[in-house]
Amino acid sequence: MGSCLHAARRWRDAGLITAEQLDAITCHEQAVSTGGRLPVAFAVLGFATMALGVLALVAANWQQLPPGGKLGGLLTLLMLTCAGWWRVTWRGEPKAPQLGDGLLILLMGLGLGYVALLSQAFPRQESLLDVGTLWVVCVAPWTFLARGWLPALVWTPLAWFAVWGHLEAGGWLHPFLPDGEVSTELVTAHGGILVAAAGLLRIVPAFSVHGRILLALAGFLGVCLLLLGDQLQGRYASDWPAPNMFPLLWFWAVAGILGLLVLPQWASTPRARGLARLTWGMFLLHGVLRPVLHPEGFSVLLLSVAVLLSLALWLGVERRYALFRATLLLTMLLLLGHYAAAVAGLMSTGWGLILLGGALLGMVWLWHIHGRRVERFLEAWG
Amino acid sequence: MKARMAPLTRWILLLLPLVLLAAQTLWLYARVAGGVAITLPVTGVDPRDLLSGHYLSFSIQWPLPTSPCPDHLEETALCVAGGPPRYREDDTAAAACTLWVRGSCRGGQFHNGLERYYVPEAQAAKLERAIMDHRAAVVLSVQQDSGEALIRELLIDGMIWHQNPEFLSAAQAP
Repeated sequence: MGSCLHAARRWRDAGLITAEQLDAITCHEQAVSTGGRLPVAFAVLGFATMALGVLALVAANWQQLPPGGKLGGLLTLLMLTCAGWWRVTWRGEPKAPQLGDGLLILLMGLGLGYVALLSQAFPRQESLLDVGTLWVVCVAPWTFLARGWLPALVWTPLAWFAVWGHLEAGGWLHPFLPDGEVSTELVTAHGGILVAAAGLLRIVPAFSVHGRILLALAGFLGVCLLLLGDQLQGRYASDWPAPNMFPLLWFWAVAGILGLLVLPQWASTPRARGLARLTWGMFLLHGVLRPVLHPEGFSVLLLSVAVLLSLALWLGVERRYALFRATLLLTMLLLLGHYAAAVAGLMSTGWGLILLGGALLGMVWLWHIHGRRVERFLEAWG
Repeated sequence: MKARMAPLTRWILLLLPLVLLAAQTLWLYARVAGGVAITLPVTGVDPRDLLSGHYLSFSIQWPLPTSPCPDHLEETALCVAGGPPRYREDDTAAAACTLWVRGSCRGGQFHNGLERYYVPEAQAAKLERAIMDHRAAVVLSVQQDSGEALIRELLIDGMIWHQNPEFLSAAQAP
């Protein structure tokens, strides 16, 4: 439905059809559409987040559960989800491949929960890298069953991190990257490139004729990956100020200046141009202030949220509504990350995840009901 | 291409992760049950940050030699039974010990990564206090072949903490 409406908007902009005709086409497409990929993905993400929240609540009461029910219960849930996936994808003609892929992602999330519960049930000599690698290896076969790009998109960067982590832990990278902290940044950057490549290859096959889509993706990935990767980890908090973060600051400054000077040139309207400048200006300011502001401080969080909301408005005005919604989602994830770091307890984190899952489902529902109204507002405003 | 995947291949791809996870569970269970059990006291790592969310953080009181852990040994092992406490530096020393625990040296201290134990939040504060009062110990299951150690149980006053009636009654008191 998305590509059809994009084309219709271009025809409207070119004067080939009227605004009323565009509205009629939109209403018709929404009426006959099954909802598209993104609402399904968001709904599945919402259910998966709620499932993780339930797992956190279960983990908080780990010792109270009967011994046989601990891992067995989760394994049963995994088997039931496998059966559900078989039901929607194999039995007869596949009617809901997106739902099948969503269930695969849910399976991956439950698999992660299972691996985490294994670590709790059998405390042993292992690192986070070991736990992550076990998950990456175990759930790899499910990515081959996917019909779309989303399960691979979830799995690929984490597999990449695991490979890099083992290369670094084994000392294989030391001749090339003497500073471990900097190499982590490079891993993050490569993970981002993989995400971008996977997304571009499957989401936007015709991006060569849609320059603004590539532009919006570059803006989205550039801002979000750095903000979220850096802040959710809180990685500079322990040895603040960290001298080895200067290469990162250079990267931040170059990305910010390039974004500020170059990307607004391709904005579609004066307001979009202003929002692009605002986004990249705040992004640059964010980088400049990092040596001054403590990474876990409230001011950094506010600045990050401001950058993300500005980015969301820019994407909305550019009519990249999928990325607009994804940016709002990432803003929520950022807030949840800080909430989890502040409260820490599994009980509260579990409830927080359930609330976030509910918020995601609410967002999908609101968009389903009021999405066209928001799009109209952004179009008129932009 | 995926639509033409053979049914057997699909079944294998669907069920293989479940088999791997179940196998990992059984393997870990066998390691815990089959290792040599040793009991060692534990103390709190940092009184200000002993309890971090849902797990207890502690330091195992290993039987240590008088010399510091040599930092040049990134991977080493500590003799905990069948010989005097010492770090394994060569094969000659290995022959005079029956049970080694694998670990590493950092800052002259022996570490093996066993520093946390997951507990229900309701009992966490009481367990934290018991650890600070030096009433806690852990039962480790050590593999004789590899020196790998897993935590089997947490003891309070010499009893498994969730089977200790005195501790549980005190934990339920307001």
